[in-house]
Amino acid sequence: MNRFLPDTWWDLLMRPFDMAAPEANVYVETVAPDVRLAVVLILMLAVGALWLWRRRANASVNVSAPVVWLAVLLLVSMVPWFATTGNGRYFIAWLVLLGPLCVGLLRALPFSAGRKLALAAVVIVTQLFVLSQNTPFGQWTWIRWEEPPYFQIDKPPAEPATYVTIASLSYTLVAPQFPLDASWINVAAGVSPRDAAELDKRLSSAHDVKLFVPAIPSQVRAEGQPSPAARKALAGLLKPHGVLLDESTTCSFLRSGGLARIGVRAGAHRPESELHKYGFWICPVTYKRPPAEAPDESDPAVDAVFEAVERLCPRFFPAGGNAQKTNEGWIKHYDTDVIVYLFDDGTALYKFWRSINPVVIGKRDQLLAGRVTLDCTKIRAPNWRHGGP
Amino acid sequence: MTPPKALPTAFLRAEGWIVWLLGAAAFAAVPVALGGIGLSWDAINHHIYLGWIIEHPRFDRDFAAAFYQAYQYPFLYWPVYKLAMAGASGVFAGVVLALMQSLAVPPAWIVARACFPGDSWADAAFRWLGVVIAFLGALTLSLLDSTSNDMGAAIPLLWSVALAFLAAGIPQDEPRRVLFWIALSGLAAGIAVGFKLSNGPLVLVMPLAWAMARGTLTQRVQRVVLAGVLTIAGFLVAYGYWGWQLWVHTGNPIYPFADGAFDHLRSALGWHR
Repeated sequence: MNRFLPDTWWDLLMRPFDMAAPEANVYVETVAPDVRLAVVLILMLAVGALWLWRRRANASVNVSAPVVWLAVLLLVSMVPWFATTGNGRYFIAWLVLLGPLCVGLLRALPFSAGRKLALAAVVIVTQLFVLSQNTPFGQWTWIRWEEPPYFQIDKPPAEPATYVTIASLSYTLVAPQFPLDASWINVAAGVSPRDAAELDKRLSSAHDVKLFVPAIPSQVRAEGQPSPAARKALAGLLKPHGVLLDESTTCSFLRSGGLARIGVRAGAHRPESELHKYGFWICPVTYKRPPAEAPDESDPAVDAVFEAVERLCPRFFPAGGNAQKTNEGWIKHYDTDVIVYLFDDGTALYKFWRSINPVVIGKRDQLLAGRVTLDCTKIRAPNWRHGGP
Repeated sequence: MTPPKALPTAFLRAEGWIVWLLGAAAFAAVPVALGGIGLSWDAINHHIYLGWIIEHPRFDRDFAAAFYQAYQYPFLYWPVYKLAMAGASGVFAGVVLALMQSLAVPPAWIVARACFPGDSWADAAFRWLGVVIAFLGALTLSLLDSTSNDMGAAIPLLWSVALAFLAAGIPQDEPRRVLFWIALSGLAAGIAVGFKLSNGPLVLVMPLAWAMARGTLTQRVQRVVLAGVLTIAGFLVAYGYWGWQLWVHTGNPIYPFADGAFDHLRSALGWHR
C-alpha cells in the first residue's frame, strides 16, 4: 500500500506544506492539517542561513547542541518514515517533538526574548486557527460512546454457535457480549492459501454455523426477516467461501441501538418508528468445502488488457490478483486504493478512491497495441497544489 | 547586563510534575467536553476484540474473527475493553484513556528542558510553549477522541528520545549516570517496537541519539551497544509472549506480515497447526 508515500521528489519536499493543507489522505486518512512541520523546516533553513552568514563574520548563533541534535534526529527519522509508509500515525513521537524543536529554533533567531516568545505564540495561534477550521475531534468516529453500554445490542442467543461474518467490518466489538464458547470466523476478503486449509477445517468441524451480518434496514421485513433480494445477495456473497445460505431459512434478528446510531450519524434519515429495523441478521448456514480449484472466471484476453494497464503504472497497478466479472465487464481492486474497470465495450478506466470520478485509460485495442500513455503522477486525487480534489 | 532572575527552586523542581498535571488535565478535558469518546471503524472491527482475547485467548475458537487485524498486538487495547465491559460511560472511558495518553507529556517536557535548561522565567516560558506546541498537532489531538493505540505505542519511543537527551545533559565525569539513562532509553526503544512494529524503522535512528552524550569514542560505542542490546531485551519483554503465541498458533511470530519469510523456518522446525 502506498497511500501516504510521496510519488515524486517534489511531492516529498512539499510534504510538510501538504500536511498544513486541510485535506484528508495526505499523511493520515483524516483531515488533519498541521502547520508545525513546515514551520520547523522553515526555521531550520532560517537558522542554517543565519549560521552561515554569521560564520563568515566570525560570529556565533545562539543554537544549543540539543536543538541541533533534535533537528538532525528529526531529519534522519523522516528517512525511514518515508521509506516505509509515510503514515502520520506511525510518526506520532516525532510529531510531538516538533514542539520543543520549534521553540528551540526560535531561540536561535536574533531577536529579543519577548519577540521570540511572541513568535512562538504566533505559531500556536496559527495552528489553533487551523484546528478551529477543521476540528480534530470526531474525525475517526463512527459512533460516539456516551452513556453505557458502549454498543447496544439486544440479548444475544444463549446457545453458543459458530458465527461467520462476511463484512470487512466484522463488528466483533459485540463478540464479548455473546457466550464465551461461541466462535467467530470472518471470510470477508478470503484468506491466504496457507490458511485456506485451516479455515476449511474450522468450518467443517463447526456445529451450528450461523451467518452474523448487519441488516439493511430497507430490506428488513416482517419479524425481522431479510427480504428475498437481501437473501439472494447474501447467498451470493457467501457461496464462493463454501458457506451456503438456504434462501428459505428463518433468520433471527438481533436489534441494535448501536447500529441505529451509526446509521443516523452517517446521515440516514429514518424516522424514530424505523430505528427498530437496525440490527444484525443471524441466519443458519451450512458449509460445504468449495472446489479445490475455484472455477477460473478470468479470460486470457481480459487478463492481457489488465496486464497492459499494469505496465503503464506498476506502482499503482501492481501485477497479480484476479479480475472479477461484473454485469458490465470486469473489475480489479488494487492494494493501492485504485480500482480498474474494463467494460464490455472495451473501455478501461481507473478510479482512485478519493477521486470523485473515474478516469478513462483507453480502449482495449489501444492498450494491447501499447498506444496508451498515462501520467502516473496524476493518478491520486489532486491536492491543494493542483486545485484540490 | 544583569542576568535574568531565576525562578524559585521549588518551582523548578516541581516544574515537570506541574506540566504533566496540567497536560493530563487538558487531555482529560477533551472527552469531558465532548461528552464521550468516538468509536472508529477500527474500534468496531478489532479494538474491543483484541482487549478481550488478552483475558480469553481464542486461537482455538476463532479464526480471523476481525479478519487479520485479529492478530495485532493486543495489550494496548486491554484498558478500553475493560472499560467497555465494566459498563463505564464514554466520558469515564475517555478520561481514563486520555490520562494514559498524558504519559507523552513528561518526555516532551524533558526534551524541551534539554533545549532550554535555564532557570529564568523566559526559559521556563519557552519550555512550556514547546510542550503546548508539541500537542497541537491535529492528528495527535484526534487520538484523544479515539481508542487507537497509536499514542500508546509512541509513548515509549518518546521516552526513549527524552532519556537520551537526559543522558546527554549529564557532565562527562559522571559516566555511570549517563550509562544508566541510556540503558533505560534502549529498553524503552525496544518496548516501543514491541508495542508497534512500525516503530522499528524509527528506532534504527536511536543509536545517533545514544551517541549524543559526552564521552570518549569508546564510551559512546559502548553506550550504543548496550542500548542496542537492551532494545532487543525490551522488545522481547513487550512482544515476546504475543510473538510466541502467534508462532505456536500460526507459525509466524509477526503474523500475518512477511508470512512467506517464515516458510523455511516452519519446514525446518516441522511446524504444523
